[in-house]
Amino acid sequence: MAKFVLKRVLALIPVVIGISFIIFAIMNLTPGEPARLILGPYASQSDVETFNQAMGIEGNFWERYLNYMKGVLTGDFGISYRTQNDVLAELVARIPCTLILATGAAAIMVLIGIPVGIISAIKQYSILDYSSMFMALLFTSVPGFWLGIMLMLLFSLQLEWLPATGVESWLSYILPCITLAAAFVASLIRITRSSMLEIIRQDYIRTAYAKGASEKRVVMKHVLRNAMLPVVTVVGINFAIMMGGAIVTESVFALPGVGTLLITSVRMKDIPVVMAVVMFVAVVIGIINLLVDLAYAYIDPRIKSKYSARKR
Amino acid sequence: MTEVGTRTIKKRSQLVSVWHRFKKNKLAMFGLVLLTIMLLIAIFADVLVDYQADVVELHMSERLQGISSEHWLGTDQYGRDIFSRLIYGTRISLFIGLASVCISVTAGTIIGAVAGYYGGKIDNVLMRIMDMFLAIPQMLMAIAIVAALGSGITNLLIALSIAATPGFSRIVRSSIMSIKEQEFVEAAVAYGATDRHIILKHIIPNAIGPIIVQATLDIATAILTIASLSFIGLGIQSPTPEWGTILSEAKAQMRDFPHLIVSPGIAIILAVMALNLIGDGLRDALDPRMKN
Repeated sequence: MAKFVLKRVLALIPVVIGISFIIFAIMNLTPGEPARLILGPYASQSDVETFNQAMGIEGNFWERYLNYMKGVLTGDFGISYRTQNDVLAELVARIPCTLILATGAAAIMVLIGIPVGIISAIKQYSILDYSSMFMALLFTSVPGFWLGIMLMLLFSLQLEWLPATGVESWLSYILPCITLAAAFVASLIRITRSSMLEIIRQDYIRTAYAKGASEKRVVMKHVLRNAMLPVVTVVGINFAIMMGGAIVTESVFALPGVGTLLITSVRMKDIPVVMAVVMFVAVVIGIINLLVDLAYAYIDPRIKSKYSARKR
Repeated sequence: MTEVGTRTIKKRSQLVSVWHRFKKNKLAMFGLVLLTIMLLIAIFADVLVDYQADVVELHMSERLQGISSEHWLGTDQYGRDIFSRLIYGTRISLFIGLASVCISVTAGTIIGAVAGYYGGKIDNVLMRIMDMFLAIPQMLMAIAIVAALGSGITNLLIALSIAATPGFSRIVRSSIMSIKEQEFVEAAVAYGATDRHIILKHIIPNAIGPIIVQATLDIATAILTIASLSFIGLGIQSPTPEWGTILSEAKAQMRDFPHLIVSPGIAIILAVMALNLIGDGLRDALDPRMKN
């Protein structure tokens, strides 16, 4: 098992290097000089040169990339072109906000998505099933930012129950979490339902009923455990996307998270910050995927035996 | 002659039976009707409204009006008719959504087919590259590309296409790999069919189902991404009437004129929902075993 984990962590390294190269190339080989964007269109040529020197923007593309990666290997992610602060410090300061947002949204997703999906499957073709499928369809189609504005309009501007933008207290996270969770709740309901329905049709479920097991026992002991694999995958993938893709939600509610940091940096071509954010997201997604695979082993003994077989 | 005749009949019956199954699905048919109406609106947008006068020209004397017989959905802060702008927005969203998915389907199918059919080193290299792209969420990738290239319709199209290609290549590759193992492909190899014949006559027709379904659902995703990018100011810029752009302008007035927010959102929901319904309906119709 330990060997498997180590192998997977090592496999992340080439992926992160590849991503860093792709993003570095996109940011450097497209029109628009960082110095011009940050100093403004009227900055003199000498100002631009001083800026470039101070920021270490020199040499051709390959030299710059290698220099950058050399820094990264020693833990130096450079300084932000825009604020002159240490990039790592800027990124770390933004992580808690995104983490709270993603965790809150993931909690809403799991607490609503899985139970509703299960009920929908057990009571297939009932009114409950139809209405939850309709809700799932609706929320897959609603753009997150629009839902965010509508919630803000209702709960912040009309009813004045919750703050609209920024972070004042934990109350500020309620609307963003709901906004971010909506589409993911929908996908989780659908996956849970279809995965449950597939298992319910299996012979061993009929056997369990034939033995005289109660419906509750069959569902909890036999169906749920077997139906959980795809559900866990989707929960993991969705959480990963939330950590890296809460950009729109964060920007609607003006939250100081990783996503808003990315947007401001990407606009100003603050390359060191963009690089750090993207690599951070890639690593987080890689780790979450690894955790999902480990969860498989916990849920399904057959997969666990595969890992230990590999160890031998 | 008779042989050719039966063959065409057989081929048709496959399509006809898919259509019959699709037709029975009321929600999917509702989606199809909705999408057809929206496509007609997109095609005939310039017949329905005058682009210069209604969509982009400023009428400061008529700004921020409510719903009336003259302005069905009111006017924005520059006095432009919201309804006319939404009609033109249909054209932009559907066009970019369709075009970007066409590009990413083509690119993804080529990459996925080559990787899946030949396997080995080619597969390894191609898929590792695709994995790198997939390690970044699609939205983040699109933002990075569009921010680097600058805003505008063409750049948005490029960004969306690049961001969606890796996902497609994965789907195509996996369905081709599973088809490659099937007995009928083995049989074709046994009777001496060429690679070209096997790919075109056996593998692509059997893999096309999941590709079409995914493409339909991806147009929906693309429309949502276009709107989101425009909303955060990275996509299409005003005065071009994209749905997300209209919303981002309306947001500034939301405290006093909340009705401006509602209609662009509903336009997006209808388009995305229509495509999702069709995609789900196609999935059930193409593969009845999948239907629960």
